[in-house]
Amino acid sequence: MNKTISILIVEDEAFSAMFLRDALSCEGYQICDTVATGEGAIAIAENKRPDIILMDIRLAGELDGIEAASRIRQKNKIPIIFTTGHSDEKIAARARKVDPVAYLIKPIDIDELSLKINSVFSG
Amino acid sequence: MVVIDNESLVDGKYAIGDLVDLVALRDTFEKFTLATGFTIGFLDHPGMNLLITTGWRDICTKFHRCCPVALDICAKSNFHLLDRLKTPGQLAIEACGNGLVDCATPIIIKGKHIASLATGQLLIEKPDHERFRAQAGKYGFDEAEYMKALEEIPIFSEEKVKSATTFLGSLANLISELGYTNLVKKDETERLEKEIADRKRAEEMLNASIKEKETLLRELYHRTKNNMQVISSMLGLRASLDDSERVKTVFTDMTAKIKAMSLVHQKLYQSKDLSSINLKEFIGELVRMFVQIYGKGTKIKLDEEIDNIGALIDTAIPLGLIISELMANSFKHAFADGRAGKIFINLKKSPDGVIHMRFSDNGPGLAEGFDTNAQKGMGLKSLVALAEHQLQGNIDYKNDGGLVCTIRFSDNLYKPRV
Repeated sequence: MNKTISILIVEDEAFSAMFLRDALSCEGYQICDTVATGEGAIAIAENKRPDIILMDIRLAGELDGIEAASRIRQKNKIPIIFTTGHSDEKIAARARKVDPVAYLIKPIDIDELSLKINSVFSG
Repeated sequence: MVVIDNESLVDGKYAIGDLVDLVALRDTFEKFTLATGFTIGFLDHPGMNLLITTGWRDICTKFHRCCPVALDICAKSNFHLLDRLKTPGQLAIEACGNGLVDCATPIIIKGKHIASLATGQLLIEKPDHERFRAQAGKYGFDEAEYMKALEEIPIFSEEKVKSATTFLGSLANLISELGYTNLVKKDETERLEKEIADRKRAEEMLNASIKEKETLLRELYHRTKNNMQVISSMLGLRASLDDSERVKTVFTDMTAKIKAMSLVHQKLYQSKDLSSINLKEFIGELVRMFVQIYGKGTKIKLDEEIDNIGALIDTAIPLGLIISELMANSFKHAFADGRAGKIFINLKKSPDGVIHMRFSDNGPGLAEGFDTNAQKGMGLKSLVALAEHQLQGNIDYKNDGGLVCTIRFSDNLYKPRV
């Protein structure tokens, strides 16, 4: 099942992005792309239609992850998993409006992330 | 001293003396008395304390007001005359209990009869001398002196008295309007002063709060830097226990990167705005630190040309890591055998906000046919990821008397966090 799931990683911090790419690849997922900005995420989501998006909230550029996810989901109902370094309730409340699959606080546990991803596609 | 009770105050706080210039009024009244011969009494209300008197006659000042019984009659007459004044411009003329004629008009501010403007101590017909002689006997006055004082009382025609009191009525209205204008000004001034005081208090609280947050943030940066140094020290200790050169190299590289990030935090808590750091100071210190880490005993000459550029933590961290990687590469590959060499770093910001960094060494440069895409190690991957992914910039390599690496990126990727 894992091999068929393509993931878009949206993460501005280079080493975190590299780690997620390597770790999720090792888990058998297909990484369709890795981008650092919300604008980039919207473009890749439109062009490559990943099965799921792993979205950091604070990003480089004008859009944050929540805004980018909101714009993506207005067009395509791609499942979103938010990742963030902050457990701020205001940000979490904003994120909930996008109806994400999960909201994970960094550092990301790959096993937990994998479970969340698989839960979307297990049914 | 005139004691003013709360009843004599407009809005419970302003006495007539607060609302009009009593010194200027005294001057005006004195001129009026000099020109017309009419006296002036300016009293607060309902206290009836005398605030200004001009031209007052001896018969009142030296006789009636010096005798308790006559003074009581005088006070009752004044009360009867003044207390019935209710509306602006209202005039009252009546004989006082001591045989003279008094006139008054009210000063009304914001509907409150706060003062009275009076004239009097006059006669409108020839006096009844017998009455005054009887008063002299009754109150124990020196009759000759008392009668002499009576002779000084002017006898005005009723028409003249009405004319003077009408003038005083108009003057009283002007005083009332002036008082009201000043009252509005005072209220506005008081409101503004309160607003300024409130804002000043709020500003002080805000400044205290900002200062507290700045202190906390500095402390946080400081602790982050210290923690990173502890991690770096632990890695150094662990590396010293291992004989493997490969392990030592990995640990040294990790230590250098942690120290680069630690230095960013140190520069942040030392910076004024806690948000950006000066790249000239940061990179200058960073490269000297790397010479200590990688180049002990080597003869490497460092040459820096770095503009005074402010950068956010989001730019400084990846830039520090890029320089860390490039320096490590130069020490490992360009000057591996301990030979002398030169490292040059140039950092400039163009008017369009793009930062150009040129890093070069005078080592052997890239091997012929070097393919950056084919590299399997972390070093080059990290450089590309940091420059192109994180800084959203461009990175180029070439040989020009050694390795030359050029990176261009914009410094407006992130908004300040603090």
